[in-house]
Amino acid sequence: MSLPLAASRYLYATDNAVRDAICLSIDANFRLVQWWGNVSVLSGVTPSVGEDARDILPLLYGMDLAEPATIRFANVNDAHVFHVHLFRDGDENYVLCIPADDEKARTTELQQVANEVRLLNAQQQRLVQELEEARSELETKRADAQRASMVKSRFIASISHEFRTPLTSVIGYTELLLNESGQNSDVLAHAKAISRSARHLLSMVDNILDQARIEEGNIAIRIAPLNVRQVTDDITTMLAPLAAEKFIGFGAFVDAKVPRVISTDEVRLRQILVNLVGNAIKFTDAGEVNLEITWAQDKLIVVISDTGPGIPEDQQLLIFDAFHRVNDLDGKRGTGLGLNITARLVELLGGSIELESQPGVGSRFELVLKAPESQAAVAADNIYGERKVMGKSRKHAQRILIAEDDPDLTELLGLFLTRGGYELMMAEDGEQAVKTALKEQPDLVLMDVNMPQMDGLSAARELRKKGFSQPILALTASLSVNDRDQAFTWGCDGYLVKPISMAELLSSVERHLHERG
Amino acid sequence: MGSTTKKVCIIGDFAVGKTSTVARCVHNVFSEKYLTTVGVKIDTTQITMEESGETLKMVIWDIAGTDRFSAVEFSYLRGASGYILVVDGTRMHTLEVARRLCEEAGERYGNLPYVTLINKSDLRDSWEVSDADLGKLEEDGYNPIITSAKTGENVSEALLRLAHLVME
Ligand SMILES: Nc1nc2c(ncn2[C@@H]2O[C@H](COP(=O)(O)OP(=O)(O)OP(=O)(O)O)[C@@H](O)[C@H]2O)c(=O)[nH]1
Ligand SMILES: [Mg+2]
Repeated sequence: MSLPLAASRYLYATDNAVRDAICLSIDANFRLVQWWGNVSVLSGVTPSVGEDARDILPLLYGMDLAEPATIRFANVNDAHVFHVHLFRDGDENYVLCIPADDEKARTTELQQVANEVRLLNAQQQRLVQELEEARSELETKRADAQRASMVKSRFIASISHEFRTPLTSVIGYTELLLNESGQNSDVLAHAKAISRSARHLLSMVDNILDQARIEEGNIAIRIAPLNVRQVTDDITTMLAPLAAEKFIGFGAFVDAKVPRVISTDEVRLRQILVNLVGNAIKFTDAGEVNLEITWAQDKLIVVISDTGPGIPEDQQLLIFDAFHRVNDLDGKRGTGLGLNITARLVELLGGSIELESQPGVGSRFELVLKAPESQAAVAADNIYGERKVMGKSRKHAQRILIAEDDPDLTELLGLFLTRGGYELMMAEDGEQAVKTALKEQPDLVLMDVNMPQMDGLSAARELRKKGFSQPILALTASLSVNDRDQAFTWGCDGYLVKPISMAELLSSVERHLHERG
Repeated sequence: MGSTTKKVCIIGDFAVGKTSTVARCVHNVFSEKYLTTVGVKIDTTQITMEESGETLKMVIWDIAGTDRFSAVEFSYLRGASGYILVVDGTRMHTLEVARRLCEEAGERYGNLPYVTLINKSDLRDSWEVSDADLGKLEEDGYNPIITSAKTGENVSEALLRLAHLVME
């Protein structure tokens, strides 16, 4: 049976295919008036005239026949899918059902994929978010840990720093005792023991201080021209006696290839050499320790070898870790920081360090440091001072102002300088130092950097501003490059790092006085 | 004892569990497999009201999930006596969608009664909808019911609540 004209017209107007369409005509009360097509697919049975169309098509419940409606893809009775159109033609109400099974299958396929992708996206977003949350939590924890570590490092640095000043007194007074003539041998032996322990304590404090600075990322490097032979001489002078005490051999050899002047950080280079050579002497009980320095392609090659106990292979990598110590080294003391600091410093100087060792035979450290040749002439005045024989022929006693707030240290410096034949005046803070220096015009000022009222560097600057022209030597417990640089910019002529030995102090003072002539 | 027939709709974002909820109500079954609904799926179920003994025949229009109704989909609410709003507890976004659909329905069809289902309670561990969100929904008058089409938790209770609302 073909469709009623109204349905055909509707189909045509809505651009729908006519094939297999079903049409119902219903009255105002949804009663079935007439039908076209295979109606039984709707409810499973063939309906009868006068039946409630809503029982055949439950979606008609709630429908307002006065208003046309379109339901796309209506799944009727869980079986067939139709586009259902409800419309009026004159007084007649029509329900037109157009089969849409195939179209629905296609649409579903697309929709399914789209929805699944959206679900996956949501899931992925959730995972990403969780990941981000976890990451930011980790980040916070890491930052906290880092902050805690910084606080710790700073704390340790300031404590260590505080240790240097009293240690200076201990070491200095011990030195005085040792130099005092007519001491009985017991007193001398005791003084030597105090001196050894104090120096040991000082080196540990220095190591801890450096470690803290490294952790804080606060070690600056100052590359400047230096004379390697002189550095080597100084180290030999300092360490050879330790080797002699232990009856082991110590030799230092600088190859002729090494240029007279090279560029690197002198303070750090000395520290590295003292650490490595000092360690070698400390751990070697028989045989010898050798320091060999050569140079090739802008690099300084330093080899420190010993006939000590050696380092077992499984420890060789760990040995550069902070606080690590090789276990069975007959209880030799130390913080275990030395090698770690050495390795970090070598790194900061753009170099590398390698260890070869065989237990029972010895160890060999080889470091390669960036150290290009420099054309600069090295100023006679490096911060450690050259060890020269003191000039003996002074026309008149020269006057030195000591500006230092620590009374013990003031007294010690006083003793040292009196022995050197100088006349003294004292100041306890920066302000007083400025006043006294301007009034008394001393030949040289020893200026402690850390003082109350006005610190030493400000005092130096103030003095220079007011025209004071005699040498000013800064005294400090700090090794930082910043402090050193600032001392020079603010008008100091030299720099002495605590603890200061008598020889060092006198030679530096002498030199500066001599230069001013 | 009379019988009434009412049209109700079930709406919400895609994959929140509308078809599953209807399947649980009507056939008491559940499938893990996701088969999206295209268009509308019409099911009928009967509810006997205990107090009155009256039977309510519900024609449920399960409408394809969407986060925004098109005009055609929106017109499916016409003639409905109430609706079920479904949220997927594991996806916060579906809660925002539900609020929006509910507001739009209110603007167009006035105060239609509805029940709000926060579905997938069996997956509560991975819910994005928090207790605070539920509290907020409560405050805003949604009276959420926590359901699971999978375990059947609260599903018939929710339907019964809607039955009461549409019969009032
Ligand atoms: N675990 C769990 N899964 C559910 C629950 N309800 C539905 N699902 C699953 O969620 C997916 C979507 O369910 P459907 O019922 O198809 O969702 P829908 O709202 O009809 O989705 P559309 O038709 O696309 O709008 C299916 O994989 C279901 O198995 C539930 O309560 N718990
Ligand atoms: Mg569905």
